[in-house]
Amino acid sequence: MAIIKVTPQELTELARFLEKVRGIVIPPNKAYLVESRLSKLLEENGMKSYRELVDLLKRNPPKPLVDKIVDAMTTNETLWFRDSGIWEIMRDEIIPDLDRRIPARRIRIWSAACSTGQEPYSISMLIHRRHKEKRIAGPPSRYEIVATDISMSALFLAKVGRYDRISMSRGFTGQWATYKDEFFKTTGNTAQISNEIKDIVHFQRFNLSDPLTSLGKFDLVLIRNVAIYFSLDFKKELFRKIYNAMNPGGYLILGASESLRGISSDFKLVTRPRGFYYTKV
Amino acid sequence: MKILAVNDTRAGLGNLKDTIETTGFELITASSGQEALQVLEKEYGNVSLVLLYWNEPDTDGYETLLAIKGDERFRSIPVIMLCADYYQPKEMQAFKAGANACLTIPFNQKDLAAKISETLGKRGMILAKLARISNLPTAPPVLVALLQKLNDENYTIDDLVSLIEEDVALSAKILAVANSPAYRGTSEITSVRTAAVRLGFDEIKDISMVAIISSSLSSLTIPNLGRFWIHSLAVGYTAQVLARRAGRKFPPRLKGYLFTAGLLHDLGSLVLYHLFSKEVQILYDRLPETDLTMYQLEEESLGIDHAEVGAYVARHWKLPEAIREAIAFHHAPWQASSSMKPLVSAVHLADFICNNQEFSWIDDNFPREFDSSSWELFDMDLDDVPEIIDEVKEIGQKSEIFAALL
Ligand SMILES: C[S@@+](CC[C@H](N)C(=O)[O-])C[C@H]1O[C@@H](n2cnc3c(N)ncnc32)[C@H](O)[C@@H]1O
Ligand SMILES: [Fe+2]
Ligand SMILES: [Fe+2]
Repeated sequence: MAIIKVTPQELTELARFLEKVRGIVIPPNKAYLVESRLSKLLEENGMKSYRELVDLLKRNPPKPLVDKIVDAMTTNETLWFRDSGIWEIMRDEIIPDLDRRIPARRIRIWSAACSTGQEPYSISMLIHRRHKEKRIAGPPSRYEIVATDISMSALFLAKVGRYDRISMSRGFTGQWATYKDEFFKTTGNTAQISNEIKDIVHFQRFNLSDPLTSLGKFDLVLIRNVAIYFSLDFKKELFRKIYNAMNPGGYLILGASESLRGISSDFKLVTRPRGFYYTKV
Repeated sequence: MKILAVNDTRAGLGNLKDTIETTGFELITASSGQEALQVLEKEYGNVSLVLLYWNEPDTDGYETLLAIKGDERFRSIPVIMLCADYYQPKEMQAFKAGANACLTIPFNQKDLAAKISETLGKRGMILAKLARISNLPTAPPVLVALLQKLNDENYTIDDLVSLIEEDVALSAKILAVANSPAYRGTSEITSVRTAAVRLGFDEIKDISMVAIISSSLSSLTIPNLGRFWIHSLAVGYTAQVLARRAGRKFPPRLKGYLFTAGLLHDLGSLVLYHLFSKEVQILYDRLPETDLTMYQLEEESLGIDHAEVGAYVARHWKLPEAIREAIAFHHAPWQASSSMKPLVSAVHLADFICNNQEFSWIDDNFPREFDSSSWELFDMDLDDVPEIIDEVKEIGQKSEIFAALL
């Protein structure tokens, strides 16, 4: 893959665009980062320079392309309750169903590229809130959330559970705002997530190209905003492995802009007004 | 850092010297092209800029320019031509030959100062100012002496005690620390010797280092000085903890440097604020509105960051190379030389962890990632993290008590 050079002017325009639409900041001294991460994307889209990309973005940016840029630029980028709709579905439909259907054993959930922990902790918060509100029979410890990632640095922050001002400002909007008050203790510039939320989450380093057998079987799998950069073959293999690692009736959740079309036909797609998920029938 | 003025004309230098000195440089001169080349050779690496007079017929300003730009070694030194009206039509020619700027004679001091800073950029000006060091504190001999002994196996506790006892202020400080809640034992410690015995050699060495460093830097201030020392102490102790946990994987030859390297890693911030308080204050004020971290802001607006400035001072003070690298690369440990990498990595990770635990000294936007190869070097497990954090919390409390006594 050839590296395509970005000019300072193009970099400024690109950075301004990303800042405006996604609140992502590219420092001006990170030209090399842009070049190493986006050159492949340009090539795939038949573009010869960043000028073409910037002009397209300014005119009429195709959402999938923007998603790809964002993800390439911000590998660990994540937020609380990312894509609000699917979290409503989890809260109102998926978790109650698991709770009802699986009364007698542990309910196992896998956050397959958990980054700095926002995704698995958001699930844990949903579960804890539900238990408090509905006075559910079993304790939240009947859930086990396995959270894995390849980045030690991300996992370190996840495991510590202390977040800076910027992380805390992403995602706790609208109906999710109260979770911030309930489950965090803020001191100065940072906020510490509470132990009860941490207790049911187990972090572990795991590379998605490795066999899944060591992780056991799951009832709910979240694999979001990570597969986009894998090759088609890798993705086919990955979702075959995931299928085998799921209990019958289990749920699979992807990122809001992802889909299994052309990758796997093993799962059943369920579409709701607020989002979609897959199940293993 | 020096500026070389090459003047082969009869005209004097006027108040060139004053102008140059206000920009922080030292002026050196040559009175012919040939002499200029000799000076450049002799002062190789020290000359930041050449001012070349080109103001009368029959003088060789232009030839000198060609000679400088034609020499591999000197080609990158910027040249400002000081030309008479007479040569103005020929300016293009000078630019083509590699001149960076031209200034028409007569010029006023302000124009020249502006041209120089424009030509060198902010980074060059800062380095120049640093080089003048007249307003930088010098390394106290006792610090240099102690640093040299950090890794000397033949250095005994007695040697250290006598070194400390020579300095009354230092002794008093050490007793204050030894009797503080951070260390307090059952009875009051009244002599340095008892303190050394009670606390142990390594601990007393660390305490002396803090006392010496903080008093030698006492002329430098920063808005959050108290927090600055808490952070520095916490990073020093945390680096030691990480190395200890790594056991044999951390090379013994670097152990003695851990604490001091942590203590000094942000030294450049003190110096930067000292020299450029106004500019740096603006950056502090900008922090809440940006996602950039402090060192990125420094780099963006000053062209240099506190790591580079700190490394510069470390070299000036002739601190051990290990310490200099830890300062220079604490944000980018992959740039360290491989023999120093474990030390630099320990400081890098310790800084990351202390900032995460709010033992930070400004409300910075901290980097979201640490260098994964540093982590791998220490081969720590995710399950070790809670224990590390508990230790760091204790360290932070100890550092708070300690810093209050400085
Ligand atoms: C954009 S984040 C997604 C975080 C979260 N799932 C979300 O949607 O907000 C992508 C994460 O995938 C991780 N990742 C990338 N390649 C991986 C691999 N081969 N195995 C495991 N994790 C990987 C990265 O370290 C990063 O933390
Ligand atoms: Fe720093
Ligand atoms: Fe620091």
